[in-house]
Amino acid sequence: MKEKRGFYLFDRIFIVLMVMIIMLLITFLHLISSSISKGTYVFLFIYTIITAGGLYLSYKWIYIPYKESNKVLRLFHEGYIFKGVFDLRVPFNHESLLAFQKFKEIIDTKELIEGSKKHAEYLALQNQINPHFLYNTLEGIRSEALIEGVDSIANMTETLATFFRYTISNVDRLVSLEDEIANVEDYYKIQKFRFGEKLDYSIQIQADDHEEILKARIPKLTLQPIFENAIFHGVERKMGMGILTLKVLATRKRLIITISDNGVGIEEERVRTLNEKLRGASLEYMKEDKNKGGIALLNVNNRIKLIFGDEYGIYVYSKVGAGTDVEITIPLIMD
Amino acid sequence: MREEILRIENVTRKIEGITYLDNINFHVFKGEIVGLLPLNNHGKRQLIEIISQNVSINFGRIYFNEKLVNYYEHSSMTNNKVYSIDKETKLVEDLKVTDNINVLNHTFHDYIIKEKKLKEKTDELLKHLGIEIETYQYVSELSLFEKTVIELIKAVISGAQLIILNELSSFLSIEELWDFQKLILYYKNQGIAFLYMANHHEEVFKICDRACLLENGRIIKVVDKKDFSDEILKPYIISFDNSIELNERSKNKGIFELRNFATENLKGISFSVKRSECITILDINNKGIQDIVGIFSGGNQPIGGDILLDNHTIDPINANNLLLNKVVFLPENPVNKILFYDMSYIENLTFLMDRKLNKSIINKKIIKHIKEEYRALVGKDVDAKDIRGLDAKSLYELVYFRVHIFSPKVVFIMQPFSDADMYLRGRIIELINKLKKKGVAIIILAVNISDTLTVSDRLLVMEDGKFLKNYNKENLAL
Repeated sequence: MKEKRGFYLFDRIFIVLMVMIIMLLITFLHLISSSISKGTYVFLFIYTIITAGGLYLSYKWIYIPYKESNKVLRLFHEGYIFKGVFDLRVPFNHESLLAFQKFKEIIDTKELIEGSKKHAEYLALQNQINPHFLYNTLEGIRSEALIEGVDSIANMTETLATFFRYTISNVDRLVSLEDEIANVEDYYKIQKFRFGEKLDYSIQIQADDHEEILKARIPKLTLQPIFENAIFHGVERKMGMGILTLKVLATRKRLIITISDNGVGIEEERVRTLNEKLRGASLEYMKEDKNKGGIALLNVNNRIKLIFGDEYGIYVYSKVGAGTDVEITIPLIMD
Repeated sequence: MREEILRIENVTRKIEGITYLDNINFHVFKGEIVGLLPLNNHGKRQLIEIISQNVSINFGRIYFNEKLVNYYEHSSMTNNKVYSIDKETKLVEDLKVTDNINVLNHTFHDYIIKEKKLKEKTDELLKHLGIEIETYQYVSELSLFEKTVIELIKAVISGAQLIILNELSSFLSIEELWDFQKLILYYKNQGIAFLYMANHHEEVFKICDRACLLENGRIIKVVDKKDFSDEILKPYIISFDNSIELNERSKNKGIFELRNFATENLKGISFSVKRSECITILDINNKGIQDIVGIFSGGNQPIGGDILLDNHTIDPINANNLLLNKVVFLPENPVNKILFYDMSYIENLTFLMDRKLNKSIINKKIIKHIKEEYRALVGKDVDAKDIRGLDAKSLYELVYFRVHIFSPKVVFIMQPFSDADMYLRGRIIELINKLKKKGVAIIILAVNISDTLTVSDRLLVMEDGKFLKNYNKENLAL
């Protein structure tokens, strides 16, 4: 960090203001003590009202917004908020407003291109694997299986091909909730081959406006990583039946998607720190161990916050022995 | 699409360094009853506060009616359209029902109060809701249940969109609660949202559309109506196991008995309690037990009947004489009522000792012994000079140990679990069991069953001042 040179600008303003207040006070005392006449009383009265008014105004207009802006900058520094810092209620001045807007533009484009590591991983995957080669091979296996009469292998290969096609193509865009759910179902089918009867899945969509909700747009690959997380960190380690539930609710402004599992759950302190991390958008998580649970959540959360803003994202409810609920909130976007 | 009345998002609230709300997330839809089960009371009051008023918060955002009303940068201090109903009524006692409903209200802008017109309007409304309350009555003349009903109506008329109901069952009897819940459901269908705070999930499951568990200022679980079951809450709540071995009761000895006891509302009741026995008197419509409370507070006199202790009649029946005969009464929320906050812990603990020892000044040696004995039970709390600094659990311990040290023969306890969170309720059960073990007969007076059954050996159900049923321990287990 750069060494501090003398006083900050706002400290200087504060000092000057204090000097002025002291001067006003001295004048006030002098007026009281020196001359007594009707005229001075009237003048003193008006003087007091104007001074008090001036002080009140500077408290309301300068001090409070200054404190608020300070708090926002501090929250940004501590990683609580990300985009909120660009929308100060009272900007410092026109130039700083412009500068902040410029920062916002730079970060926006940068983040959308390479913001999250998982995103980059997908892009790498997309370049490395030749999709045509993959589909063709899978299709070949499928037809071979059909000829041999092994329907289960044929079905599995088909699901895998569909799943890959969806994952690899066009990671950047928003897709319909219906497509995302279909992808999750493909993923479930693939996992079902492995887990068999041990895994169960159900979906609940708000009864009214069912059709409309399915058309809502959400970022691609929002649900599947969380499902994967629920299976590998929740259900897999648990004895007995693993139940996954996907629940969708819509309000006029936002979409609330909850993915629940009845797995092993997370310890209280870890849930707390996880939720603290999920509160803000930060790229800190990339430094952490890749295999630790929760990275997928942080990745999806980051993408949501960077695309839609700080007020959307993920919140986790969990208890050891009871399971985990992951609540995703995104704005309701039709078309 | 559902309409969202309230949305609390990542809200953190700290006061003097203590985090009361810790990254809390929460929403309530229009026309929805959301249950809130506080596992402990930490943050509950602050949650009600931030819902009602847009006070300063450290972090997060609060939306009311899908509009941002409060956030980390700026808190406007304005009020939201929220009304909170609890035991302490906000009605003006010296005004009539119609004035409370219509005049003391933000939506009332007339300069002249047209009493007749307002009465007609109110009467019609109450008739429509099927409520029989005389609207020209003063609020002070109403029962607690009637006041609560009037408060709900007032809340709706004044335009509240969200109504917070705080522990209704701690002051409404079972029957009253049923009637009140009907009214809640009626207003729910009108689009009013409710936040139903209660200590027991059974109560919440009966009426709510969703239930949230609050612990240490965080919502730790949200359960939908279709998933309501004891099973789902099992990992979150502690069960109160009453497996403590009690001493074998000596039969026919040390019996406390009420014979044909009658007051204004008690119609000649008779029952008896043995030593080390605990019974619960459940008053379905909250009339009879108030008279028993009245006798201990000196405001009520029995009309007829006797109280017998060890086959001797206690006469006269008044608070002082009962205490001399070692019959003690613990009121509801005792920490607010019977502790002396200007005295030290040990002075509070030994408060009843002078009667036991028949001396007004207690020997220092005795005090020292008591201190040592209770230090083993309550730790260094016993040295506290100022009991204001103690938490609720320690204060409850002090109340019960004061009774314990006095070794009474009979203890009446009014609603022991009222206002207590889950952990505190567990401790109170232990404290009551300690008294039982000492051979004290315990009579719990309650308007709702709550956790009383875990300590009780018998349950007497009372309605209109008469006993309806008597269940013993075996029946209770079923």
